[in-house]
Formats: sequence, C-alpha cells, structure tokens
Amino acid sequence: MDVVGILIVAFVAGTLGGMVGVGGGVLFVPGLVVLMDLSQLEAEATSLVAVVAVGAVGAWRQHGYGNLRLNDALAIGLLSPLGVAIGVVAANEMPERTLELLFAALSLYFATGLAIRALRGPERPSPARSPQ
Amino acid sequence: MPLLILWLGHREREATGTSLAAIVIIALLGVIGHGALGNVDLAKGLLITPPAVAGVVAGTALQQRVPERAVSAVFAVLLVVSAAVLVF
Repeated sequence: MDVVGILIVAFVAGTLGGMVGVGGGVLFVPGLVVLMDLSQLEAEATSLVAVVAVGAVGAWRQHGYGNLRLNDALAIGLLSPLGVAIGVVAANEMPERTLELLFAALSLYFATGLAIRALRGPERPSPARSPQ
Repeated sequence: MPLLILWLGHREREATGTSLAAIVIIALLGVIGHGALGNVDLAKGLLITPPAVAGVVAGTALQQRVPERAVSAVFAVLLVVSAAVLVF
C-alpha cells in the first residue's frame, strides 16, 4: 500500500476531471489496483465514491463560471443507465476482444472530431458589430 | 463530453460542466449498485476523495484560463491513449 502515491494520483485525476469533464476513474482505477491492492472490480466500484464527489464539486464550480446546462445533464444522467443496461446485454453476447476494438474505434472517431475542432483554431467571435 | 460538443453543439467549457453533472447521477447509481453487492471499499474511496476534490477545483479553475480549443485537444489525446491501451 502506498498512501502518499494514491493521494497524488487522486489529485492528478481530479485535476484532469476538472480540465476535461471526466470523473477521473481512468486514473483512480489503475491507482487503486496498483497502489491500494484492490481487485479490478473493487477498484472500479470504489473509484465511483470519488467520482461522485468530483462530478458534484466540478459541476458546482462550472455552474459558478456559467458553464452548466442542467437540463442536458439530467437527460444524459437519467438516460445513460438505460443505455448501460442495453450495452451490458450486448457486451455479454460478443467476444471481449471485439468489445475492446469497438471501444477503441469509437474513441478514435471522437478523437478525430475533437482534433479537427482544435486544429481549426479559436472560434471566431460572433459577427462583428461595427462601432456605431 | 465529445457527444455534447460534436452532436449537441455545446462549447467546451459547457460540455465539461454538463458532463460532470451527468456523471454524478451515473456514478451515484453505480455506487449504490456496487455497494449492495459489497464491492465498494468505503475507507479507500473516502481516502482518495479529498485530494480528488481539491484536484477538480484546481482543474476547473485552470480550465477557465486556457483556450476552449485546447480542452478539445487534451480530450482528443486522452481518447487516443485510451484507444491504444485497449488495442495493444
């Protein structure tokens, strides 16, 4: 067990979560497995405790900055479990490797869209109003 | 987060805020489900929570100071790394 190590990983995961709007599980889970001797299943379950807090505080901070669309968040939050249930059934029907490759393909699809967006440079300000 | 930006027309900062709020609901359901099955190590979960919360406060503050497109770029890198880990 490496308590100092996991505290550092948790801070970095939270920072990443705030930067890009994820819960931080992508770092919590390997951190808990490697540094806290949890099984993969226990680590995934345990990481969710911190993810709830990261999401709540992060959303509250972004709300303060005027960056929260609560209706969209509620729609996604409440519809996702439905999608998860369908996904779990589908995932059990296909080989693990197929699942990994499908997920990788989906990730690359989104990465391409975001990279194109990032490379196009800063958004133009809305049509300039000439000074009156 | 990519869904919100690419399909629902959110700006980067809005997408991260909205995504974090949605994650609360999803993760809460997950904690309840896993908790009932006895998979949650609450002590370790509570150990990582304070530094994670400090991190998210720092991360959101930092995000207000970088260009929105940079947020897309960081997320794109994150997705490529995660895809590579899955494939290899």
